[in-house]
Amino acid sequence: MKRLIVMIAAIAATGCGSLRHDEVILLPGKDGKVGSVVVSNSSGEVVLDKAYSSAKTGGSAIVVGATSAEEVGRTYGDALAAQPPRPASYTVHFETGSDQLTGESRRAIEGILADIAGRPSPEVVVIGHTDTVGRAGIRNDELSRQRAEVVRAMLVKQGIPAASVSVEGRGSRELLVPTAVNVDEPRNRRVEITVR
Amino acid sequence: MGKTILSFILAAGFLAQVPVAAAADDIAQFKRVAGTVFVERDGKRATAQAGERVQQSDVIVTGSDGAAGLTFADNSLLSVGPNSTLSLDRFEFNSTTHEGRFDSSLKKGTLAVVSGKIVKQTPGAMIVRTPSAILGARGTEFVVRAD
Repeated sequence: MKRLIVMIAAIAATGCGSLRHDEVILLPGKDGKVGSVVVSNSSGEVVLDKAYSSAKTGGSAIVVGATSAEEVGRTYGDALAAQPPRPASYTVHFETGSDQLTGESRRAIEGILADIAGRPSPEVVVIGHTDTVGRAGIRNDELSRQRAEVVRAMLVKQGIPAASVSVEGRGSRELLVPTAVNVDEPRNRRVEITVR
Repeated sequence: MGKTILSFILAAGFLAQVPVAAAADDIAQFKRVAGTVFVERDGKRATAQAGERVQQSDVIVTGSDGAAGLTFADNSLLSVGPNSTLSLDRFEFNSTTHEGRFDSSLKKGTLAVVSGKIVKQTPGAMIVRTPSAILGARGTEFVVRAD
């Protein structure tokens, strides 16, 4: 009797394994870096940290294996082809105390516009910052927002729909280069433009 | 009468200025839609279109010819292949601190993931459930299949 139950259990386990067979495969990042994924369920936990390592779940244990770019392409080609373009970030700089872009940054806007134009349903997030010159707080909050608005206006003037550009001002709270108060630091007078 | 028209114009002008991206409940946008793709929300099913935005608790369903790619507010990228069902269970993201939480469930089909700012800030804060496992993302890219 006991033996029969064990046999039935074994058959059930095998049956489950073939019926439900979920899989995860770690891919190398676009930048070449490989991250990691923790796979867990009632039968245990496994960490995948090598490119093209895989874990199959649904059987009695998590089964770790290796696969290849070709195999990934066969099973996941459609999902990968539908992947949206990678978001990109740009930084433009301003003259001291003003919302005037530096000459170099004005020219950089051209390239950013081309990037936006090449994306499906593009969204742009514009975040303005200041250096620590002047009274912190309200004045720099206003200036950072104003700088972001100037960038938005430039993009909208070039045909980017205003509704797809959002604007934020962060004042001098998020310095790129940490400085004391009242320091004229060109690298902190910036607007970050995220395109996605 | 004049006043009504004026307030109508003001209201219309205001609506036109509200950036679509700023709607508080929007968590992601369809960047690519191919073949048959639906979004299920509150028990209703609607055909998905490129450019459309989605919210927490939405379920993405693709047909045998379908595929879709979404970009999330934290720059995470999720895309599904044919015959897939993906539930966007939970998405919270603070754009200032980059702290957040992203839970989704692949009920069936195929999914490709590129993690975003949430995971960069807090490794493990993004989870993909399959019928037989929980996947915790500690960075970058992976693919998932559920039968």
